[in-house]
Amino acid sequence: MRPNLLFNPVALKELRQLVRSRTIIIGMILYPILLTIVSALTVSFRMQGRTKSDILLGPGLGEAPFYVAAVITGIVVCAALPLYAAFKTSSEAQKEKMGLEFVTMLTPANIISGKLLATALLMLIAIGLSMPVFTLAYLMRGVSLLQTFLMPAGLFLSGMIALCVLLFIACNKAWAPALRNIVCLIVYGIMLSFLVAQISLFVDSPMSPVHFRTLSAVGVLALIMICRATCAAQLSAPHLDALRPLRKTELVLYLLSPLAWLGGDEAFQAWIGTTAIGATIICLRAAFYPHPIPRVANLNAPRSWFGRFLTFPLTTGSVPGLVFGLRILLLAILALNFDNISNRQIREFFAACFEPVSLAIIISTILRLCHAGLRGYRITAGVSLGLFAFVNSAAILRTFDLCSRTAFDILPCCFHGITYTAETADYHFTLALNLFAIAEVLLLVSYIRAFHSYRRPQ
Amino acid sequence: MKIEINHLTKSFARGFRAVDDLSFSFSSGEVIGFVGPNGAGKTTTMRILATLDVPDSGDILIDGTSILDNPDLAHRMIGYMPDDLPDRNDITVDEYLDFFGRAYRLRDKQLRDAVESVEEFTGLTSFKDKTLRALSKGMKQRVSLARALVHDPQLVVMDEPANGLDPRARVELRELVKALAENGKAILISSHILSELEEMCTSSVIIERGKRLSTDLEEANETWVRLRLHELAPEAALPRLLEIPGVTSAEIQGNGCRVRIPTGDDAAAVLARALVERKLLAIQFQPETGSLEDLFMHVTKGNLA
Repeated sequence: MRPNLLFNPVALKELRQLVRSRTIIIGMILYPILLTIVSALTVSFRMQGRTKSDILLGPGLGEAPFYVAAVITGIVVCAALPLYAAFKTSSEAQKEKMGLEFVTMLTPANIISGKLLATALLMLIAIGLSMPVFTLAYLMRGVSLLQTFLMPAGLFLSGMIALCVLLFIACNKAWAPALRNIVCLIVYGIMLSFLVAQISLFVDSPMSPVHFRTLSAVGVLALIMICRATCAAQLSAPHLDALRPLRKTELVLYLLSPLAWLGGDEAFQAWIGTTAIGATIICLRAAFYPHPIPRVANLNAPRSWFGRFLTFPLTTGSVPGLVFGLRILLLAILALNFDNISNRQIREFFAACFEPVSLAIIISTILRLCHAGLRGYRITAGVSLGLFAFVNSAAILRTFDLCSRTAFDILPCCFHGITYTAETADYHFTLALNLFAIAEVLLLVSYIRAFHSYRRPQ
Repeated sequence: MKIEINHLTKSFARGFRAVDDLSFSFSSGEVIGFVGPNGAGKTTTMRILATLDVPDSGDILIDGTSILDNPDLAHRMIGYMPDDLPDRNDITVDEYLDFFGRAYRLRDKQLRDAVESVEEFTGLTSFKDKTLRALSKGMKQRVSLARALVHDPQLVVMDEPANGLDPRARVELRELVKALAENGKAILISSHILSELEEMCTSSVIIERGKRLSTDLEEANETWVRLRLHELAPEAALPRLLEIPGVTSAEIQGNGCRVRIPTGDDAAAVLARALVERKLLAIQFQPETGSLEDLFMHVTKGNLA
């Protein structure tokens, strides 16, 4: 996010519109009243049948109102406000109201940032209105101070993720109508249930090791940044280089991720997680956005061969650029750790990092090399998603012993977390190595071909 | 400043060619009427000029610099007024213009001055605290014009600005356009009300099926002259008028006649002299030379693309 984001005209305009919206004003008045009444009722139910000494010396009364307040705040922050923002954006995008903003100096990234910022401020206000209840719950004992602070933080981050995902849907012309579809709302409900699980990771519990929290925080930040850039890319006016904000974001994440190494082993895991997430998103993007090198980028290409070589990943991004660079880095890591290649942890990391993304890289690279059309990419993406759904179904069947173990264990790619066991570790490592080799060759060919077309027009 | 539109071509789905090798140019201080039947490609051309669409081929140059390669230049130099009205109903006129001023990276005093200046120019000062919802269509058109002017563009592109306005609002709009041209702005304006365009424009571009037909009123070969003769019924006058050299056709119009002669002052003078020589006393002699409507009807075939 840029430092001048606070001066974002879109954020200012959105806030001005929100201030005039009766729905928001009435909601903001009713929300703390509802929160207070429900929390007070919860406490009164808890107090029933307890003596004064039980209340003073027994377990605290704060837990119940704390979680009740968290659920109500969660509904507002993770569902109501993101949906409101997404409906509004979807309506603007469908009615092409944003055209006038594209003839100004605003970029699509500015527009999305403004919408994110305005809704984030509204979320913070909602959380701020809940804070007295959270604080009161802490004073009534039953929840720790850490929980009192982590819960609002978790809710805010979850709300931001929900907002990003919904804005992503809202900005996509093909998907936006689905926002008003009941099926979409069901999917959104399922997604929210995952978010609730994610919130629990932020709450102090023996189930949440510290490195996992670090990973979650880095992952959430990466997701927000990438969703913002992707939304901007989808909204982009035709004259603009639509993928520029996305490439910039990817590059920032890519360049910053090694810094996590400075934190030791724990941060190393976070870095591996971040790069794996980044690589997956880059590959998916490559599959969904098979754009050629934009005219503007080609016009601004440096004259020298070396200059072009350096700027090429910045210009074309995706498979031929960043992913290729990422693979080179991974090779270097492997080479540096070659002595420890038998180390189980290294093998696990390698398989976990590479196995999930390799299929996407291979498929998208082959499509690119075959000059596949948009339809080809979409069909392939659909088939990949179908395969993913099939394997997840198989995993569920396996859990209930309804699927052959042998058949299940040899499932490749994307399924590391499902099929990985101590017995299948070697199989997964070998599979990842083979896929890695195939992808490297394909990427090299793709990179050279794409670079060949990246030249200054005469 | 010179704006050159060079060989612009734009096709849509199923090979439908909205703009077909369109070229013309104009400069600061000129008001160009952009005329054509529905579906002729006017709005597409204007959208390309505003960088909302990308042409298949061709280019638009502002002082020799391509706006396709430098869209930021287009955003700075061009004020675009589309044919639809502002629809963010829940903010005030002042806030709306303030938003667009900020969007053009105006800040602090520069922003305030710009907003106040366009509000004054478009007569919106007394409406600045009203929400857009509370404004009439004419006032919303003013807001739309104010928005297009807030960053002081050198070229103003107006797509059907008079559409749906009442006569008073049209007159006021015409005065605003004239004032803009006097301030040295280049203006490209499209409208279906040709008589009004004629009063505002210094020249015109007529397109049909995406192709340019004519930009100069003098290009039409013939024009009409309206006549009313003293003590002579139109029916009786008609055969005598047809005898005059240069008159290619004649028809009755109301209580007078209309004769078709070659375009130009010379032909009109010849006709006037012939009337006097034949002792046909004209009490009305009104050449319709230069009528945009006449030219439009003359050059277009009414084909929809």
